[in-house]
Amino acid sequence: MSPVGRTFACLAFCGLACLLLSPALVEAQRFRASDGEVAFISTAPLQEFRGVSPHLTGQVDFASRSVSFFIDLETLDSGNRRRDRDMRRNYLETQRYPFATFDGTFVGTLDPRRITADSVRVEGTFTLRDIERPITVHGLVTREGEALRVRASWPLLLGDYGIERPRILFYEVSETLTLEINILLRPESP
Amino acid sequence: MSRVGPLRLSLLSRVVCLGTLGVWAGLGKAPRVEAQLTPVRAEQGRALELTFPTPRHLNLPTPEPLARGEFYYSIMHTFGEVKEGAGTFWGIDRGANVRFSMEYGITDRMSVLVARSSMDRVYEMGARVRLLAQTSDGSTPVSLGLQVSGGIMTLDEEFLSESAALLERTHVSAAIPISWGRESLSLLLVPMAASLDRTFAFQRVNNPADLRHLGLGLGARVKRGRVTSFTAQALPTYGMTSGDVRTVLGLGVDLETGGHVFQMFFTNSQGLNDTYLLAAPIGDIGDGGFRFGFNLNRSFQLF
Repeated sequence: MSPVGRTFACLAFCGLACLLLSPALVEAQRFRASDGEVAFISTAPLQEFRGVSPHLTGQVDFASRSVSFFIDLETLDSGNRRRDRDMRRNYLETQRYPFATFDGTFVGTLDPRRITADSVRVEGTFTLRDIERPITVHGLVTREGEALRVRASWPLLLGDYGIERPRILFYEVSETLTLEINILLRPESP
Repeated sequence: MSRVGPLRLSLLSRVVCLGTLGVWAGLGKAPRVEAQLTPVRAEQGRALELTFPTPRHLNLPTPEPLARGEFYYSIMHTFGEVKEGAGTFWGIDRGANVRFSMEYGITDRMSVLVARSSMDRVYEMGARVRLLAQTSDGSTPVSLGLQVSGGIMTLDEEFLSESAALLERTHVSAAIPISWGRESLSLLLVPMAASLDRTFAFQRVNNPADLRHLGLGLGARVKRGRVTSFTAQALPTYGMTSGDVRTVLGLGVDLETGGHVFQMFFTNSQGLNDTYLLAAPIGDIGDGGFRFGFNLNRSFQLF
């Protein structure tokens, strides 16, 4: 093969290798799931309850360090359907504001291939009833095979989001709820 | 020539390498990554809830179902006519027709109820089922239910001044409540029918000749804020023997306070169950023939 031909062949191979490898590199950087669990925990003096949903959707992209979660609030279940209906209709107003979302970026760098059980700090914006509040969330990322499990919790002050808490005996809700998330993020397919 | 060739190749290779790197960078970097998720509903076409917050709107039945395991308790009252004046505190002292009812959700669509009304000492049993649920995406535009009940009047024969066999004391009724709601406005349409086996001279019915009754209830509810709603109802009734057409009217306010719903209203009928709502005497509003009434509603989740 002439020098010109060898050079073209070499360049073509390099270009092809780059094209084939690049999606794999991106894939390994982004993890996603839509079957995570979120719990809103109220610890009022006379009544403690958890509103739980198994429909937490989340995505972490290690290349851009972005973190994004959302939950359809109509899927929350506290075990008391009447209370849930009242909360949806009169307090969360889920017909008008159906989602709670969190979008942010984690502080520092994380290599998803080297994660075993790492603490992370994420700074971002939590949105409920179209009201945005900046928050910082501390969480734990652990490896489970190819997937990564993310656990985190943070306090949620109802008044920050324009929610007047119910004070009736049977419906008493604490002013500050604890919000917990637990989601197994899987590498996203190309 | 030999010196020109390698120089040309070197330039070409640089161009190709840069191009390849550009392609690699373009595929491998940010443009393919969406940093934020776009929220989507977990379930499309979800059933609207609490279009009417109670099984009864003033005194019309609604298609609002109880949840499975939900126990619902209500106390309904209508007092004497306002035209009786200050001497009876505008009818309050006159003695109320009081209806106690308990209802239990067997499924998320079906419930059973028992009730007792003091007017004519009527005991009833019934069932409600929601056949259609209005959905948030409009694929089902209305909610539709069916309520059937049967009752027995237990006044003493001594009071009735005539003998009354057990079956002669019975009545049945059916209603098909249809509701529509959006944001703060809820509307209700309720075709109703009732049949009494027999009537008695001292029974509290408008015309003892009428054993069969039809009605078409209309209801509206306007929610103002989280707690308060304004309510209205109109129920034209038709006595199938006499041909009498009369109209039950009502205006009121609902107060919702987390599990409790207080309904306060004025109406021109003292009837509280479906049969007596169609058959009982109706006052002349222009002559002060309306009454104060209120309902207390409470819900518990048993299981």
